[in-house]
Amino acid sequence: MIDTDILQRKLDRERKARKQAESILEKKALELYQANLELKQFNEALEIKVQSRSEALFRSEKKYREIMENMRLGLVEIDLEGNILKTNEVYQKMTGYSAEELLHKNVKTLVNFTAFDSALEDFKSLAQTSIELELIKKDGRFLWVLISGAPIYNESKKLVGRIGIHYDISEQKKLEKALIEAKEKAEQAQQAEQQFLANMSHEIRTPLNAIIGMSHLLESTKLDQEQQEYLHLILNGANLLQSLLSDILDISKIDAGKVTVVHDIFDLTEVLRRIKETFLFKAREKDLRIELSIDPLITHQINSDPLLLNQVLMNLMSNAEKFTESGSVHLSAKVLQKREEKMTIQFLVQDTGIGMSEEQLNRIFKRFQQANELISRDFGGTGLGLFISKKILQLLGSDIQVQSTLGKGSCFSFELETEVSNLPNKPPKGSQQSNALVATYKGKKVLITEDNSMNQRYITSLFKKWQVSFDLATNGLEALEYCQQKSYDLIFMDLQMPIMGGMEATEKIKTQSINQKTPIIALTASTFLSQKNKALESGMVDFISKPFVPFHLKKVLDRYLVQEDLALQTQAQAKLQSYSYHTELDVDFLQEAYGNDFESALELFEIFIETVPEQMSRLSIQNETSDNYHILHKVHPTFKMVGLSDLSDMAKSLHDVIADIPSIDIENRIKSILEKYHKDVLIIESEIIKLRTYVA
Amino acid sequence: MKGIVFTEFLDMVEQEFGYETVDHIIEASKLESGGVYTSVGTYPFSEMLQLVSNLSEKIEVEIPSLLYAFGKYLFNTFLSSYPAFFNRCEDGFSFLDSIDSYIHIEVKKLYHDAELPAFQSTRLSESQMELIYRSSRKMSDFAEGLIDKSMSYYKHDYTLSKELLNPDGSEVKFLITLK
Repeated sequence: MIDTDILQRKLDRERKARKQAESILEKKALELYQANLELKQFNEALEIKVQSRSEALFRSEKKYREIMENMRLGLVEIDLEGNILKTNEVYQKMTGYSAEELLHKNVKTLVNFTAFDSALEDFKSLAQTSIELELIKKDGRFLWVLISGAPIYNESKKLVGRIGIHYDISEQKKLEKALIEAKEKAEQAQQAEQQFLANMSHEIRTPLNAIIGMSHLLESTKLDQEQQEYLHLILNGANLLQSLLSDILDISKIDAGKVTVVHDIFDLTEVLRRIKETFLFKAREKDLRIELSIDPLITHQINSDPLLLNQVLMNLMSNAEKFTESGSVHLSAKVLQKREEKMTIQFLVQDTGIGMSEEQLNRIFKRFQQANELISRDFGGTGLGLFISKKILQLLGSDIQVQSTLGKGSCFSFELETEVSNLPNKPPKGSQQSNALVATYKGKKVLITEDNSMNQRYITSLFKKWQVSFDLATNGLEALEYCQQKSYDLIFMDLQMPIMGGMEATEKIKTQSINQKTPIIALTASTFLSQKNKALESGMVDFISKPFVPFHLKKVLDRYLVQEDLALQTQAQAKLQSYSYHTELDVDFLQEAYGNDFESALELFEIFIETVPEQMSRLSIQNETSDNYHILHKVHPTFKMVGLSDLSDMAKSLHDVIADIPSIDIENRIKSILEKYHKDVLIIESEIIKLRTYVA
Repeated sequence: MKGIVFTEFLDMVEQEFGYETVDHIIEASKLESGGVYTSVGTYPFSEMLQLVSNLSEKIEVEIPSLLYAFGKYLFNTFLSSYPAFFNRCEDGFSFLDSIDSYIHIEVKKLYHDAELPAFQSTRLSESQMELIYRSSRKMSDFAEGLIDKSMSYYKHDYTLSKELLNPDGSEVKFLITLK
């Protein structure tokens, strides 16, 4: 039994513990109550905050929705498959469907665009995209819209769909279509105008060519003073008409944007020298010096448009020459800047002519305007030259500058930035007086292809005068036939001819005749650069614009018949340093065989003289065939060794067939071999003397 | 020290040795609280020391054994009062892991003033755990009773070794190895 005292104490402790617990719990309950109160206040504050935030959000959403509605933007929200989830009123109006009808429709059924699948693919990428396409309205009509798409992500940043913003662009599309149609119409009209100009050009040029050509022929007949004066006036009038015509054609081309820059690599120094030559000829009658200075830094060929550049320089030079009675016209090309493959060249045309006043300077670049009204009366011209030059230079990325003092002269200049090629310039060809070269046309054969009888008479009379031997074809087919039978040194080819045109004939000659390497020059009445380019593409090397004066024709003859020979000689001389073989000999072979070892050459020539005459003396028509065969067998290689290639060929070909041909043929051929041999052996003898002197 | 430790301790003494012993150890101690304890109250730790030491003297059992037995006893109280702590763990190691990382955090939320020992657990391998006990109260024997009961509760076959990291018993390393 437990002591009552102990029980009493237990009871006492438990009562006290209970009271203690109760008071702790009371305290806790109070704390809890207060915490609860606080929590409630927090909650209320939070609710107020949430409320105001949602109101702000709602207002902002409403604001943007209103903006969207006012901007008339159609909105459509789609899932990843393109099914419509939500649309706005504008979109509903655009399609003509109600919101309910649109719900769960696939947007693909609402567009008239097969490429939309790929557009939808594009929408899948993160980037925003926009495309133009046609919506199909409920009533079947179409509506052009611009759609801008944006991806929609859910809370876990996963792509769940897209929103498409539609903007009605049907008005713009209508406008666009009208613009395109208008543009096409304008282009057609322009093309018709171009065609008309091209045709007119040909039609006017052909009779003009006859007038100019016949006038020049008439000039060389016996005329009295009065007749000469009249003739002069005819020529001047015709020349003016000619330059007016080509200027007008150039202007129309430039206005139509048909003049395009065709880059080519060419030798600028050659172009400049040719220009100088042209004006030297013109300036003969005046007390006028034509000067040319070329910067020695221009060592290599440049990449620019040689035709356009030439036209500008010719224009400027022609003006300078026209307005300068005495003194000089100076053409110069100076390098302002040279860096790696780029070079800036300044071109200057400076004259000591009549010059211009400040007021005149302001007018000269305008079309049909000259410095003053008197100029066209006194000097002729259309007033288009400078305008054309300025326009061409703009195409080349340059601009023309002018400085002038009335009574003292003018200076026109422009700068051109070009690329420099790695081709060195050609060495300048020796300057020639064309008059002195008449004799060198001898032995050259030229083919003229021209259908116009006036032009035929004009050219053929000039050629007769200059002692050029020629054949005349009246169309491309005839020219081709000639070319398949005879070989020519130069061919002139009209472009527009019946039966077969010049370009077709050129292409055929280049592939189907024995004149594949003969230079072909275009005779063209067209001033269109594109025509000229086509001619060059078909295989022609140069062109003469009709109408032309005798000087033009002569220049071409000089360039292709005379200078070629001179150039060859220069080349040979360069190779041989200071020795040149007789031109009758096969110089190429001799150079290749002996190079600069002229002692060996001499030795071989001497051996030839010691042995071959003895052998050749035994070659006789009275011999047995086998004897002649053996002689030919021995000598034909020896001929070759001293540069008698033709003789060697003759001997060898007879040697090859001697057993099979009738004796009468053998006789004839031996005769001609001996004839040639006796001439050639003299050359060899003189060559030995020359070589001995040289080697010593 | 939380009142529940006192009330449970005195319950255990009464259950084992009768209320006379309870009354004896209270009367033999000089207690500020007068031996009146409620589980929701908080009392000086020194009172517990006096009660344990008086019990040891009375029943002639060493203090460590007493504390160990008390640990085992208290486990049952914890189990019935806070089953959620046990249900959320699948085995003994994860339960021991959760003392520091979860249970004591929750206890602190309920009783700001609770002063709790630290149990730093490290899994040495699949079958071995190191548990370092740290407390200024130096009641590692009490902890050992709780650990043993916990491991048995999750039905593990295991061995338990104990090593003093600090001679005063404020830092003790337990090594539990599953068989």
